[in-house]
Amino acid sequence: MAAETGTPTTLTLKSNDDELFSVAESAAILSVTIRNMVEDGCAGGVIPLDNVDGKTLASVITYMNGISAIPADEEKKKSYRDKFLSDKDFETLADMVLAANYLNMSCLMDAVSAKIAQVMEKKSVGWVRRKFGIENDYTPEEEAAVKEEHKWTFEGVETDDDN
Amino acid sequence: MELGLISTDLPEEIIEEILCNLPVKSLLRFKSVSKQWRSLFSSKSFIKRHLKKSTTYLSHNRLFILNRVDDFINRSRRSCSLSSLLENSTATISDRHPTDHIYDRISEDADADANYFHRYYCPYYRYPEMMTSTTIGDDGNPNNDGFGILGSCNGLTLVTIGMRDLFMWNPTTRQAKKIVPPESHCFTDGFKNIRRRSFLYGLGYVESTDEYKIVCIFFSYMNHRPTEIYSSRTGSWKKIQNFDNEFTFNGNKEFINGKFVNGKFHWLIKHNNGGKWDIVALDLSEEKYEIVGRPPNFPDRYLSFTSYHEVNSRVTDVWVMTKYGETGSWIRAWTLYSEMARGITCMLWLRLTTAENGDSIILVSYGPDAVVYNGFGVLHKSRVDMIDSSTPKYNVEIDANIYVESLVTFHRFSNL
Repeated sequence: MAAETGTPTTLTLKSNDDELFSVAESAAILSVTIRNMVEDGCAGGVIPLDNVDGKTLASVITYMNGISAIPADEEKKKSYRDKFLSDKDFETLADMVLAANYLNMSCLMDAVSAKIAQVMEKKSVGWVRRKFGIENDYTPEEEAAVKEEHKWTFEGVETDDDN
Repeated sequence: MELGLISTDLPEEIIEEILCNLPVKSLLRFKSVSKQWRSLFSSKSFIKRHLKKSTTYLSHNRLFILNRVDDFINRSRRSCSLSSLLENSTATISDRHPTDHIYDRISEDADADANYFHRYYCPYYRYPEMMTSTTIGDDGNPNNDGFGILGSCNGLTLVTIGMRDLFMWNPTTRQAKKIVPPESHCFTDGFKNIRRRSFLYGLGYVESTDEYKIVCIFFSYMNHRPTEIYSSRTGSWKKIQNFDNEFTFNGNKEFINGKFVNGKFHWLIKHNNGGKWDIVALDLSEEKYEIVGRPPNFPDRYLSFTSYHEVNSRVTDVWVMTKYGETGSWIRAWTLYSEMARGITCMLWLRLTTAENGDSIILVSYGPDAVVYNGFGVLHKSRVDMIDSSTPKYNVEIDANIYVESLVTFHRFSNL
């Protein structure tokens, strides 16, 4: 491995839409999925990542490089993650959380999950149904009753901005 | 659980992972999203998972403050998130925390004696429209109905009203459940001058059996101190060994809240013979008392690693046992210098599990202000101005509690 030989090793990752990315092994092994491949000696050629598209993979690699450049300082890492995720919209975050899950990157997974929750926090029930593709299976009467039961939780809900 | 209705790419376990990060208020609102989400948010496993996550968010932990001297329903009871408290050097706790739903439960017990309540409680609980009216208390006449906080665990709070009734209350979901008090508590019904200090209550959780337990120690003018434990599993009280009457509790007024750590309640006590100080613990699972090692040279007026009420003391040390069960691990975390001779009326202690440096928060109140201290080494101080007080400032006494926002229900809640 890189640390033993002193030469930085570069890995080539391939997205499911056939884009190729070069990334330092030391950054890429933040992904347990990739680390396992490296340790099993499967990382010689190109590493195919069948569940991640190029746009998302590019973003994940930016994150890998960014976070691994930060020394062991949890506070700095946290503020990097916050900044990295700050301008992402719901769809991008959903792609990222899937990628983080597939790549087994718990720190990114936790951060993106928390970010999505933060985006959702003040949203309406309708917004959540649309974004998550959930069909309303309540009858109008049932829904009214559930809403009535937790009436106070509908205070301070944002106006939907997704049309 | 069926996945059928979720059509996006996000699998159910990832959606659950995301939802665990939401505050309770959002989750309760999103019960309306679908039947599946509603049942998910009521499932024990999700509630546990969410609780674990919530404790790591400062914004999901709240400080509840009650102005005891000037206590009006929904007026002097306030709460704010710990994040808002710590981000500002001066915070005003302005959010009124509703409690009227607890009062709705007062008469739910079939044995309730309406006349008794009429005499002992503030009359307003029967007239909800008056409770929310801003005219209450404008005559400057304090109307204290004896609302008190007895303990808190996993987002549940044990409260009393009028020194007679007990309620399990989730201040976040606004659910309340009346608990019939133990026998020893009922015994004092006839004594009008009974003081609150006669009882010591605590609320804890036993992980291995997944049950909540309430402890009640009666320690007034009797030679023995009966101890009773209520279990959420049985829904009833049972007597265990008496609290050793060779000990005196270290506390000088009101309730002395035990600190619940490692499945055990802990109280600072004094031996009657010789005045030696110690910490007595009650194991909630074994339901037995034991002595836990105290710090060496533990001066008598100082705090244990738990909470402590101290009056007329200008200096208070805060001791922390950093490694549970190891006497040698005690450290003196803080020394607090009270600026007012009146002293500290309330002290809370919270260990924040998330903070890397083992950050802790302590809240003390002296006189009109509540002061929050945060962190080992670095002392962060926030002043919390109690507003809306019609009593003279020096007369303010607060009761406070820190709780985590959770979906936890007391298991015998009938409406869930």
